[in-house]
Amino acid sequence: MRYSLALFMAVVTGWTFSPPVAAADSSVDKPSDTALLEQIATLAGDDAAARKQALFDLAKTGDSRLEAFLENYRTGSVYLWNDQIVVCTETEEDEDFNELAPLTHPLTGEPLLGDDDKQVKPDVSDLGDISPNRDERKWAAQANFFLRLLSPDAEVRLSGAKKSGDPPYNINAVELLGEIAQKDSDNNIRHTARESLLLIRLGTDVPLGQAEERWAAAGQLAEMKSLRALPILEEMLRDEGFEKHGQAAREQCEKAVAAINSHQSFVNWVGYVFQGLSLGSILIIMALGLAITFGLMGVINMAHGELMMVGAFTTYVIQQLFVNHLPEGMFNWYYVVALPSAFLAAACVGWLIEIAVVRHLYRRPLESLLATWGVSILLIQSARLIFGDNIGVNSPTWLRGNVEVMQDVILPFNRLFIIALCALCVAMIYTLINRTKLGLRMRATMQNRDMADSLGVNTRRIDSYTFAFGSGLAGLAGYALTLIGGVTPDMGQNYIVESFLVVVTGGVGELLGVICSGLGLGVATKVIEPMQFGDFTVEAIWAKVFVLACVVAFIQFKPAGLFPPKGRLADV
Amino acid sequence: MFRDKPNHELCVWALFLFGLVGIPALYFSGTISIDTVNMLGRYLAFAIAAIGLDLIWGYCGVLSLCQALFFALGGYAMGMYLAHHGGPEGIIDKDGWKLPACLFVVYPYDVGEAPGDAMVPWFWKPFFSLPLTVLLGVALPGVVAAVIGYFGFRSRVRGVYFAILTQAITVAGWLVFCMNNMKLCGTNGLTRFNTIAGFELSSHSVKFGLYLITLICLIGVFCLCRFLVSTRLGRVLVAVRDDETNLRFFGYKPYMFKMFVFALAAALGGLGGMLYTPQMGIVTPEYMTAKWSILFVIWVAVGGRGTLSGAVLGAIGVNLVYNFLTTRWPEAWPFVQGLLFVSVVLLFPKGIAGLLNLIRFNRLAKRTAEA
Repeated sequence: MRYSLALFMAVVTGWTFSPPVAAADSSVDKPSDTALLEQIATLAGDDAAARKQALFDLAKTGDSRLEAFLENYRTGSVYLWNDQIVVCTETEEDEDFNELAPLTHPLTGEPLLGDDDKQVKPDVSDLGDISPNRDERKWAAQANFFLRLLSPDAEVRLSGAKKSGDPPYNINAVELLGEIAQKDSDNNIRHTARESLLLIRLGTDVPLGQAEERWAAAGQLAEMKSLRALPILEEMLRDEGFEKHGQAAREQCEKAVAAINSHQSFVNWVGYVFQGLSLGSILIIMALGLAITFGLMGVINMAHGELMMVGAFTTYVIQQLFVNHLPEGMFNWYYVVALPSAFLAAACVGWLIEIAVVRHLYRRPLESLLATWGVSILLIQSARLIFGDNIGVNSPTWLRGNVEVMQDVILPFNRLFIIALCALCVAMIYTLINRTKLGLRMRATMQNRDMADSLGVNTRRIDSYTFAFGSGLAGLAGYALTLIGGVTPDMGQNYIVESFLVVVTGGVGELLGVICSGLGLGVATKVIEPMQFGDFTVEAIWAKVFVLACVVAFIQFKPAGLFPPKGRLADV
Repeated sequence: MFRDKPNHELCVWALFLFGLVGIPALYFSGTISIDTVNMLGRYLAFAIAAIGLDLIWGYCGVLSLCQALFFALGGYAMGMYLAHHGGPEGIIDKDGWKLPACLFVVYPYDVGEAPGDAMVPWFWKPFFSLPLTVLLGVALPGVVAAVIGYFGFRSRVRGVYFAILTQAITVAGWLVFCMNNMKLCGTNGLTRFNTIAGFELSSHSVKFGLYLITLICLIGVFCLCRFLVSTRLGRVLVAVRDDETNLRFFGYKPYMFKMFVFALAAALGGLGGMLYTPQMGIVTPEYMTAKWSILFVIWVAVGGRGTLSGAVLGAIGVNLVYNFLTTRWPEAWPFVQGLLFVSVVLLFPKGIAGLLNLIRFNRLAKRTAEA
């Protein structure tokens, strides 16, 4: 927070210039490289004032290539060679212990080529020194700052605007920031610049006369709901020296902290609920498949988690195919192709399991649990032998970003995608069960197997289809999980118990039950996790245990779940 | 007196006899090492827990997936006793209790606590004395099971629902025991055991003694359960399994019986765990994972459920195969295990016990044919 007053004055007097904020718009012509090089050449001159002017002219260009050059200049790696400005960051030695300097271009950073197309490496003694003095080093650092604020690239401008407001506050940037806060074309940058401006005002000690403005900044920051101001204000309030600013200042700051805190907790809660929704979505996709096989056939499929693993590994295989056999530009399409592939692969494996094992175990649900557990061990070990223990699936670039729906409420695309996928699955199942012939037969078999059989429904075939369909859904869950979790052979084990809990809580009577309980368990887990009771933070494990206890208590009142099967089915 | 017994029970008695006479003879003649005896002792401890599971699953028809939890609870009880009396390191806390070495190493200090502030937690203290430990090691799982059973059975949570519920409870237990600030040594588990009742755990004679004690306990448990299922109680249990609704209409309260058997099974699980820990030398939360809870069920299923002898044969048999395979082809074991589960359920629903009875049936049939 302490500032060298001298520097401050130097900047105010010497650096006051009206920055061409318009230059921030890329529409304005950039000075050509020759003009830049000419300005750079001035740095080698004897005229101190001209050198200074050159530095700040360079900053005005907003050319991002200058960032590296100015840094090199500051560290003393810029030299004069044959009346040419060159850069050399590291010297070499040849066999005769001559120190040679491989030269690079000041702007492009590429090696300077001689006549023989090799990098020029003159002897170190041939280089003219252009070492900046103490002041010039400071100016170079400043220029670098302005370079970012004036960059035509919005990202760079944004980060520059943000950085200048962070401690130690860049007080020299105040004027430029003010201009940006008013004139920049990007809304976000204007906001950040204004925030930084206020932060600088808040964080910098000022003479008594201007104190009022300083504390008013706290109020303005609170209005802006600035999360960045929170740690700064808190630290100021903790500081014992704060008393000298008087009671009014303290009150203002405390009010601001309270306001920002409430915004912060709102943002956090939205975040937790959103995380819960995406966790719940995965649970729902898993549990829907389980609920179908369990509700329809009374079969407990402990290999359901491994079918999910099959889906995830299929996604991996498709990714590898795209990486190895298709041009790079196609990479993003792999995730589209993987969607049906994951479903089909898991459905096929599920179909095989049905034929080989499950078919023989209808009406023996407890034993199907054991047999399918055996299948799951086989699948895990096979995957481990074929693929190894840890493989990487990269999300496609179009799922890597995020969207800020409200101030500070940032929703990542991959989690949004999972929620959308879940909605798609629910719609698909609903249509299949309620709108198609297959669905009609499925429901008939579920309600009364013998009657459906005698009316000409091939219940065995319906069973196969249903089981394969439920398995395919597990595959989709695995496909979605590659976005947010690691892919390992035993990944299914982490989810199987929870998915069963979802089915048990939801009941098998209605799909709605699974959706309610899936979302409920997912959101409850994530929302309870960060809660605090006195000194005790709940944390992930206790949240799980607590949710579990709730489920156990819930089953007391609803032994067959939220939506139990009704009528004659009820006591089978 | 063995005339009227089924084959599998004769087999188990033969096994017990071999354990009592054959194994000591082999050991003292130097044919098998103390490590083999120790290993067998551990498998016998598994068998005790498996008998418990067979009571509740085989006779009562309730698939419980938390036998592993009860086994681990018993194991932790004994582990705490052993940790109290083991390990050279550790400090004396302010109340004069010696902090067990394994806890001292991973003690979760609060912010502001210096290493000297470590205290022996209150729940460690009862496990200092052996009789109390043995009592708690059996009673704790029993009480926990009674509570789970009371809430579960009274509201008629059945079949698959109960299985999943117990599985979830086991997972919850595992999560809690893995937490280091529970002061149960987290995922490290309890270790650094030294002595039991003043005897060195590493000495051969103590290992052999533990094997004998485990075997005698197993025989006792087997006889007790045999007796129990031959009484009227046993017949009620089978009635619960076969038609619970009907039984209720006769005026019985099935949930009382289920609760009792569930608690008894848990107590046996705890006993098994208590005998297992000193022979294994460590107890970790690993025994509470989903994998172990299903392993117990598999042993009973392979042996043949509802026979008691099947549980003994299954637990010992599967583990011997496991031991044989993992020393030779470690990668193959999961495949064998998986295939074993599938094939036993599909092809031999009655397990080893069923197969043994088949032989007797054939011999009888042969005799009848000759006559």
